[in-house]
Amino acid sequence: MRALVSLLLLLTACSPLQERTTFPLTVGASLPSVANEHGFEITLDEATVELGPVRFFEGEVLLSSRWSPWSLVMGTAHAHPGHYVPGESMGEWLGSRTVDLLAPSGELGVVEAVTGTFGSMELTLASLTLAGVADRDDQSWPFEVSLEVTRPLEGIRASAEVTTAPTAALLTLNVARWLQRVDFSTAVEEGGTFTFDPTTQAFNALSRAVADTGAYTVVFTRQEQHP
Amino acid sequence: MPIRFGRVVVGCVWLILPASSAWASPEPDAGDATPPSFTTTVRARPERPTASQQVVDGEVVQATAKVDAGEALRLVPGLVVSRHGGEGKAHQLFLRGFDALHGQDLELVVGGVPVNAVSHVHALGYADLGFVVPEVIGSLEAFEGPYRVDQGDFAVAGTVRLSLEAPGPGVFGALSLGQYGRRRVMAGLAADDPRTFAVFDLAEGKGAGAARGFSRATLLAQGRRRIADLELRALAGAHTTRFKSPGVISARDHDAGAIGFFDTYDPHQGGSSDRLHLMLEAATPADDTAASVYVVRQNTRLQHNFTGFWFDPRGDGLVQFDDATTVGLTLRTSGRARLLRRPLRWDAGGGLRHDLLDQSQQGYRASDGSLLLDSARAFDLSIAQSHLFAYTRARLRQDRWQLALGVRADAFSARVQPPGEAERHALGARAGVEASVGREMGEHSLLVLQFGDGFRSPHAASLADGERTPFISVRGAEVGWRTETRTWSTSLALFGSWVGNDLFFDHTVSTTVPLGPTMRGGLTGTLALAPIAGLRLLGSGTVAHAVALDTGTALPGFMPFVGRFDAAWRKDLRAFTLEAGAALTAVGPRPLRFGDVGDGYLLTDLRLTVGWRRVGLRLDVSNLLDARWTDGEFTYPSRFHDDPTASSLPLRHLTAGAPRTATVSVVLHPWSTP
Repeated sequence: MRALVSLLLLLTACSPLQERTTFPLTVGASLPSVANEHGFEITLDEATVELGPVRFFEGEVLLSSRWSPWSLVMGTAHAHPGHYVPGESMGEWLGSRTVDLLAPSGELGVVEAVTGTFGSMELTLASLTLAGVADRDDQSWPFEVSLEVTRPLEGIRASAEVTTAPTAALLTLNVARWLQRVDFSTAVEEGGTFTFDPTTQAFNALSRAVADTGAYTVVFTRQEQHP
Repeated sequence: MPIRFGRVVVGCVWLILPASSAWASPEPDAGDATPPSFTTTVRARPERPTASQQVVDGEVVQATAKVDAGEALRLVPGLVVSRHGGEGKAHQLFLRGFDALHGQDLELVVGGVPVNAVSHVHALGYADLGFVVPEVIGSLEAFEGPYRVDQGDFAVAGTVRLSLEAPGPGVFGALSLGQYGRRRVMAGLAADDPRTFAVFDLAEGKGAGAARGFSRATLLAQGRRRIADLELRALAGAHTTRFKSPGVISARDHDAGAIGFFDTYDPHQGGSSDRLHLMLEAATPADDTAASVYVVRQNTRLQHNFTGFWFDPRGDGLVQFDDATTVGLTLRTSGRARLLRRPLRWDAGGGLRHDLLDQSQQGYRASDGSLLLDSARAFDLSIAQSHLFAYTRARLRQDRWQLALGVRADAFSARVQPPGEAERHALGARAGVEASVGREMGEHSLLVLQFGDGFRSPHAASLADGERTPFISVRGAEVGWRTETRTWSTSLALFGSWVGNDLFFDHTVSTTVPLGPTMRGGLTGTLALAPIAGLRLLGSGTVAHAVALDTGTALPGFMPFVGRFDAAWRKDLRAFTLEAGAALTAVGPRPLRFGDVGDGYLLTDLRLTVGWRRVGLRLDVSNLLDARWTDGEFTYPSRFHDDPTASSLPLRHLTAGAPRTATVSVVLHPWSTP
């Protein structure tokens, strides 16, 4: 009977306005390759994050590439830049996984979605662990830091027109940007390893960078259909 | 008694005298004192109903198992009746590709009193038939489509008129005990003319599953009396009900075993309704002129939570109040004339309706059901709404052709007073037409092409100050065939309709929201048979399709296929009578949003009665095969759990259809049945 209904709809050339679809979500990382703002050259031995759930929304980020100055006059006001317009989600992956950013293993999960205009992403980054060595002026700071993130990251720009055509999304975490403003000289030494005490500049810089949606990019690509 | 699935009205009378009178009038014998006798044959050409016009008489209505009057509407071809809000809330109705919600697209009239509420807080056209006691439904008359100028507000998909009549003169009643704590007492008294009656109905039950309990009490009375040259009719009633409602469950949660099919997320859902009404009508004995006045007081409280904790961490539950006072006056008259020496029938009518509404909406806490005084979705409104209308129609017959043309005008005004804000006024008018041409095909068949221009009044709260064109316009057309004989009848109709600004119910805001222009089309057929004495068979099938014109996409939620089969059988065995009624209802899977397809279902209902003189023992079984079926299906996002991994996607939500339910009744029949 479902086939008959579908056939009737097909014969009358009246598809639904939106349809359900899925696409894979993979994770990548942009690692530090040059000195940060404070002149530290950083080599990472460990970079793991616990990611998920991930949700996509129609709401655009205020300062996205599609934002027009006219929206300040004619459009909907937002509380502050970066605020996105929530609503029912366009897609979601509700799992949770620990990802090694030094060797991402590819697909994070399959996103269940509906077709339409995607504008932003909400990312739950529950925790991260970074360990390595920061060098400056012939001095080294071996460090290890773990950070727990209590609130999901809202309003990550993720613009695309998703259809039922094969699609894939790549989420890139900019680890270099996380560490860009960290002054390792403020870290606290404990047994030969430096940690980021919550009162230090290092902790503050890392926390703020992790919460900055600009440290994340989402790119959608059409996948070739294999014969 | 000939079985007809349609209405026969004597339109023209041919008096055939010469031949018969010659046979019947012998030459007088000078010595014969016996006066001459004459035989006169009166042959009437009835005005044939169209394919979209159906009458279901009381015998068929009473043969089917039902728990309330709303379920009797299932006898109308293609009409699907859904109860998703508990036994006390108005049904959701589907007809000819329309999801009429709680009545926005189907005009319901009971005993001449309009049932649809205007600008209701929950849904436009909210039509609650709970005040009708099923045993006194005399007939259902359905006009599918908006093809008649005497159809009123909300007649977008059609009109159903219920007439009231006791099952016979004398005392009648029933005492019922059923599964799931169902208990009912019904007692009535009717005069020799069963259209004069009084009936009392008291019922309660727990329902199958969580949060399905209800209780109701109804008093309904109708009286008819001839005074001088007038037939007077009075209809009065009082009705009160309290009910619980399980609300919706998420299909994903059910499939994952997180919630049972008959469970509820929120036990605070439900409502209450109280109604008083009085109608007085004066008509000429030939019923060609009538005037009526009516007053209705209706108070409704609905409490529901469709989305869990989506909007408010304290709960998204809403309590909606609607307190309405309605007064109305209707006039109608008809007559005959001649046009170019051809006989012409005309009818005309008019009236007014005025509604005073106080509405409010507040949130309530999921934890204990207490009101949230700072809910972001709270509002408070007072509305005064008036509707004036007038129509006229002429019908001409020439040989085998029949033509009809009618015009109608409506004026609408609304005044909306939100507290602390400026008052808003809106005023508008519209005109509509009815046109049809039909041709008799042989002695028993009629082919008719019809066009109608209908309307629906908007929700007053949606109107801007000074708005002048508030009506939602509807245009429908149909070509239909009907054949009627003494023992069988059949009809087939191809229909289409266009709605200027359609509405759909958005569960995330708990009210109707604009959808844009839409179009619907389909095919409906009926067949009625009386193959042997005492047995009546009725069948119907409707296929339909609906699209949103702005996007060219299929509308979600309508019913693409509806089939119905009813059988009613009666056998008299000296002091005993045996009666049986069976009904099969088949509803095809409906399209939902995002390409989802809802579940279809097949339901079987049975009624068996063994009577000895005036007392009978009755067994009613609904859903005889205990099918697991979904009554209502909706697609939207929700969050019923405080779980960060809960889905935010729009997902299927459903309301469970009732399982097999048996009820045993001891019935007292009236002195005689018609």
